[in-house]
Amino acid sequence: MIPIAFLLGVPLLAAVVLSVTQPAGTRFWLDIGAGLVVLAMAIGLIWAPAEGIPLLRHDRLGIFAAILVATASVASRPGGALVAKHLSLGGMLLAALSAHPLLTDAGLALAAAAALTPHLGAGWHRVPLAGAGLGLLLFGSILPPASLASGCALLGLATLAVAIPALLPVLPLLALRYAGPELVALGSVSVVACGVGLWLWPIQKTRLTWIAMGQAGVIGVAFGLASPDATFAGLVLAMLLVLSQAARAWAEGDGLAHLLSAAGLAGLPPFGVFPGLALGIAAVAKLAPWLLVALLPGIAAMGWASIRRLPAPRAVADDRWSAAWLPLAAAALIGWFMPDPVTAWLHALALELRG
Amino acid sequence: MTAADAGPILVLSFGLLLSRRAATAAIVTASQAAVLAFLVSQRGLYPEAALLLLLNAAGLPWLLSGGTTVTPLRPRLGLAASLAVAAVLTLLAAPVSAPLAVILLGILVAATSRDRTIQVLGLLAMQNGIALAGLGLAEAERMAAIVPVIPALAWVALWTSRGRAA
Repeated sequence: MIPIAFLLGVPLLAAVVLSVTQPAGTRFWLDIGAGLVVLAMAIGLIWAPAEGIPLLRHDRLGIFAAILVATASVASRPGGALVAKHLSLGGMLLAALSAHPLLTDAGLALAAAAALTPHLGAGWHRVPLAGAGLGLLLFGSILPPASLASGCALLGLATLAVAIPALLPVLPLLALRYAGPELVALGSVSVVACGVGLWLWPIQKTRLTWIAMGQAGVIGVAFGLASPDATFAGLVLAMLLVLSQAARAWAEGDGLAHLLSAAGLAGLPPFGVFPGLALGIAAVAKLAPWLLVALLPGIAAMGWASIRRLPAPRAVADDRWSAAWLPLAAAALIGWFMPDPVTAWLHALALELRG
Repeated sequence: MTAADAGPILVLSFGLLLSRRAATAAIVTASQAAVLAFLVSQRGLYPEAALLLLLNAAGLPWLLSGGTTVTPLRPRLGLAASLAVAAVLTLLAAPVSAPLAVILLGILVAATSRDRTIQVLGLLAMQNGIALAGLGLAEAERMAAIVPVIPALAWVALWTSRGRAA
């Protein structure tokens, strides 16, 4: 109980300390330090003895989701509303590690409220949208398992993804609970809708968010197919998506890193999500080739929308080394040269879920 | 839960959709929760009925009525279009699950209104639909369905955004 309780407590403690800390430098290091502690603790759960904890899960999926959420938080650009950021991290961790659907909903509600609070002025329209998503998810969670429950819960997760893209790291993993034709359908619709939307309305400000949602759709399809190979592909793609989004967030000011991270996020080889995307497409081709008729044009449209808008690889703005290279390198390492123990662990997780 | 149980609640959802003043919408939503509380009390679930009366029928509508406008509101959809969409949603959802129809109509109200107060009332109506779905379930699920966490969070957001605007 202790490791998970500490893990959930650190972001909340960080939020409290940050709320009473004024100096910008101290706040910066508190933010980075708390994020790294959470990430280290999430990774440490792999070796911590698993215990039967009421309402919480100490299994591979919970650990994977916690690592992903912590990575996304550490890799997000520092600055902005730090208290809200850590509260949101705490909510997402609770959702990721909960074994009860209602606790998952509570975690997501906390994460959603914290993520929305700093943007209530211009971003009010997200509040009813997020409320509708949480409501559909709650409705799907309380009903006995059936296609109506799965459909509503998945629709709720998709609505939340549209309302609050910051929740994207955890939402596809929560969708794993509802693997089946509904998830495949929702993922496919998401890929096609994002491809068509990017083709018709290539708005620079929202482009990368839509691309990330399209990639999350591919993850949904892979998870929905409910085979170990497809699930493994979805897990790899989920990791690469988080790292690629982090690279994109840190790449401002470094022309080459900006170019590579934007291209990598869109699925263009060789960087970013490409290896995971290729694995996902291979799994779909093996299990449900007819789905490629919908998926490939959607993925191609996302890639094309990105190529049209790729930034010029201009010179680095100054001599400082861009932090974007760290997630870019990590994505390349995981995508092309994944260490054997990590591969074995992910395969074991995929088998545990779908074996 | 029978169709006769869900009927009045569904009718009140249509009433909410047709409300053109925020004060009227608050009264309609409160009435919907009161009817629901009556249905719940008939099943002997008195704590749940009390919660519904206290939070969904009185507390939140009262908090929201403090900020209601008295001028008629202009929803994003006209009357005829709202009714048409609501009718289609009801026809599709009600045969599968009557509470789902109530939930979807609440979401429709939240999506089509321009007024933030009515949007939160739409979420409260959605919560009433979830509570209706929770009637026959185990205690944990029933309580999670009844306690209006989502509209309460939306009310906090509304209150916070007003504070910022001021």
